[in-house]
Amino acid sequence: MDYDYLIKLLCVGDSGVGKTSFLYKYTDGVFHTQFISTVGIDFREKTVIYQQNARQHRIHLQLWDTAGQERFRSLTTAFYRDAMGFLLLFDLTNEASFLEVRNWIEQLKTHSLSDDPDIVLCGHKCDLQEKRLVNQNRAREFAKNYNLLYLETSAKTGQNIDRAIEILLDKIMYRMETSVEYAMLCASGRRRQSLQRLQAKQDRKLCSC
Amino acid sequence: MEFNECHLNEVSDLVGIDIYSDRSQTPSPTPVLNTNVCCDLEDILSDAISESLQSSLRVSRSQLINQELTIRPEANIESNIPEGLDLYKVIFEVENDSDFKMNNLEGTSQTNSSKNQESCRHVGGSKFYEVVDGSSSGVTSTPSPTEKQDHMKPIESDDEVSDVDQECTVFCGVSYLGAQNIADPKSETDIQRIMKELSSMPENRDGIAVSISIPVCSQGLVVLYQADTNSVMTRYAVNRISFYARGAAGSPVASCFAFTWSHGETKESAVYRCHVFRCHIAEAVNQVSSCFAKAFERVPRSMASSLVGDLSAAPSMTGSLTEGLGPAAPPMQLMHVLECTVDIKETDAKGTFSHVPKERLGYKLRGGIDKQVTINVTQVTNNVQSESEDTQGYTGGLYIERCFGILLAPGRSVKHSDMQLLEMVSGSSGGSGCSVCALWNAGESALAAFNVASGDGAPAYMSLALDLVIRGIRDPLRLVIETPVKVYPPSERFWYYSKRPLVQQFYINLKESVDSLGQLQYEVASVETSGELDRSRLNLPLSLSSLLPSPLSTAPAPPSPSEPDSDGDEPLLSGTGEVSKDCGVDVLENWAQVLRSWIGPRPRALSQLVRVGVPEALRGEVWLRLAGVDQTDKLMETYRTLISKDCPFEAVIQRDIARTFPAHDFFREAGGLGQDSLLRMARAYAVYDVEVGYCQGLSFLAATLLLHNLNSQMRYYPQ
Repeated sequence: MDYDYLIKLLCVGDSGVGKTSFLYKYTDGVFHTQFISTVGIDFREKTVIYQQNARQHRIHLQLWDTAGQERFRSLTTAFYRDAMGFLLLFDLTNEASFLEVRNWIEQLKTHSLSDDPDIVLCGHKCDLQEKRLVNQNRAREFAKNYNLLYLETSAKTGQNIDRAIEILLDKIMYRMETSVEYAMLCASGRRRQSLQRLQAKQDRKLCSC
Repeated sequence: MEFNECHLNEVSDLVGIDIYSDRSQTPSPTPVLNTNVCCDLEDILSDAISESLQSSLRVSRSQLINQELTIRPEANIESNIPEGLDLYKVIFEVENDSDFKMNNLEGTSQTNSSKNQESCRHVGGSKFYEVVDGSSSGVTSTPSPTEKQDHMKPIESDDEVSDVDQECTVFCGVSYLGAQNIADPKSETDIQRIMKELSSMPENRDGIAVSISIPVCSQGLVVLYQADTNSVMTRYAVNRISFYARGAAGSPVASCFAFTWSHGETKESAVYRCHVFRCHIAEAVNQVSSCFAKAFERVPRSMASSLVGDLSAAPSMTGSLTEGLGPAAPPMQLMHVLECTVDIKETDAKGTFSHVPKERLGYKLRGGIDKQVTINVTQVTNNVQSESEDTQGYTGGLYIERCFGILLAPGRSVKHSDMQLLEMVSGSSGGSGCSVCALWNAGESALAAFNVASGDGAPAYMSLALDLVIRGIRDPLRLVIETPVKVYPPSERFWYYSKRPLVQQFYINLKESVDSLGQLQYEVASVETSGELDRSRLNLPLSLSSLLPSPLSTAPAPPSPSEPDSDGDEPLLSGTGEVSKDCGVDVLENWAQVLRSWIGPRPRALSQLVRVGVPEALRGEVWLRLAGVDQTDKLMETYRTLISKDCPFEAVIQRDIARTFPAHDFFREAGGLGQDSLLRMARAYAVYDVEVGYCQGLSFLAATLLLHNLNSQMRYYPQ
């Protein structure tokens, strides 16, 4: 398959918050109530076209689906290092999963390559309004404190599923772009420096003459 | 109350419980056992290899009924029911398997063919045999070898709707308390009143002991059998039942149930009578109610619109049917249901035909190979009031006079002109069903599209059409079957081999009209189809047939690295797969020897056998023995204490229960038996193994064990 970039995203969150459903909805556009619990790790793929500064990139997304249970933590954390962005899900109908978000952020910061990884926080299952236990403002406040983007999503209705990934992709692409530019800047800066040094040398030469 | 001539019986006394019929219910307080579980596997095994029993294992439903079975596999069940358990509330679901029928005709007709040939009569082109009441004489008739040629259901005539040739649930231990006229058949208060009256009548203290058989769909019949003689007392068509109600809980009639049925042939002359029954065990009413609810619920699509909202949701289980199905409908309905079974075979190098594998995504054809297409048409319309043998009228269902060949075309929604008539090999018709076999010549230019492997513009669908000439209908009736296909290169070898037949039902609505000569004619108003029926769901997962090699597996495909079909549009749900149950006779024989000699240490031959694979049906038993479990009593005691303890992983387990093989029949229902047993097992393990506790993925192991009946008691142990 042809693509310009391969981007690996990781989906984390407590057991049963809907990570698998989220990813299936995104890649296949279907919602099933009959998913099995993810044992260990799994992944889904999708190729998207990403528009950036009037240029089109074909991006191959590798979406890693992790097991939520604590017991698999040692296994799943090994995958954090390779991921470029994270989808952190919690269940709006399950308060404990929201309280765990803090821990998840800690985990991500410790195990991911960057100290400040790109994370999108998703309050999942927002179609179940009557069962909802986590207030929108509360979640928003929390996200603000941690400087995260917050979205309310639902795999059943498909609400914000695509958007969450797009936002994450934006962040990653921005980071890539800036780091590439920075690298180029550094490279060009070094060249300038060396030129200066050369000139200085020459100046000295001239002087010594 | 009419007492019909006794026809077919034998089913009701087969004691066994079907756990699948009532998945919607949480396990009743009465311990429930399962037919599959209770059979002593070793018995079955040794039975299976003995020649005399092979035929009885293959016994199909119709055979069960028409033949005095000297040996029944189910007989083991009774002996396995612990004594003292009040277990006569039993259900026996008859399995519907068309493969079965074919086998058993060949298997058993030779042995019994000599009996009772004199009592046959002719209807149309078919012969029908009077069935002597098995319970009184002990001698029954079976199809003669000649009748073997008459495909599918040889004993079923179009006027004699075989009441047991339907899937049904039989309840024993029921008393019939009588019937009373009722003015408003849908008034529940009236029914409750009649129930009270009839049950309080002193002469009705015992009622008539009966067994009642409730079909699983609205096409069927509710049949009453006399409890002691097992003869059919009467039959009630489900579609003429206008209301079902059970006695109000807590009242004296809590163990009663009743339904109103329209007697009389036409709408005007209809008389509604309320028939009242009492169960010997009050809890059984729940089961009866849910069976009725199911019977009302499962309506062919064309009829479904006339059903009242959601019957299943009604907690009181009062199912009622409104217009269209109830008394308001003309009792002589002109809807007929035809069922088509399609079978495709391919020639192989040796010139013999072997079945084409069929997956969830359709047939897997090999391009450029001659094929043979067989279509069997049977009638599933149940029309009870027809007692006449007059096949001209519509009382006995459709009379198929002739059947043209099979037409075939690539694609869907094909025009008639684009369809290619296949060369007919054989065909039999005349009567309520017909069977055609035609040759599909791969060299035919019109069908060349099927010779290109999928992916290169090959068709994703094929259309099969069958034209039937039906007596009384002017134009031939066309049945079109569209099914997905995938074409592979001729050299392709299939490793995953599933060969369930394609079954599709057609609902044919007829319209009366009078032609120029004043003759009554019928026209086809509409033909609707059910789409493919998933027959596999109706089958029990571990039927005894699994022990016998199917004729199709004579040339097993060699292992190849090819992957199972997973490139479907929808995600493959966990639990949808099929386990191959085929296993050769010699393999079974070896296992039988090993199991017999396995007392104490493991026999030497065992490891050899295990390496090849334990046959599906024996796994439960073999695993238990390998684990060295012999004292189940002690084990059960431990288990009982374990499940009574609090489990710290309760919430985690709960969350995973619904996510374990969610597509599998046994675990599909939330709160059903499967999920319940699984929950208990997982909890017990979490308490037992403190270090591991519960770990995601454990539930799949537990589920596998449950599916292999590893411990029937664990499965059903009441909490």
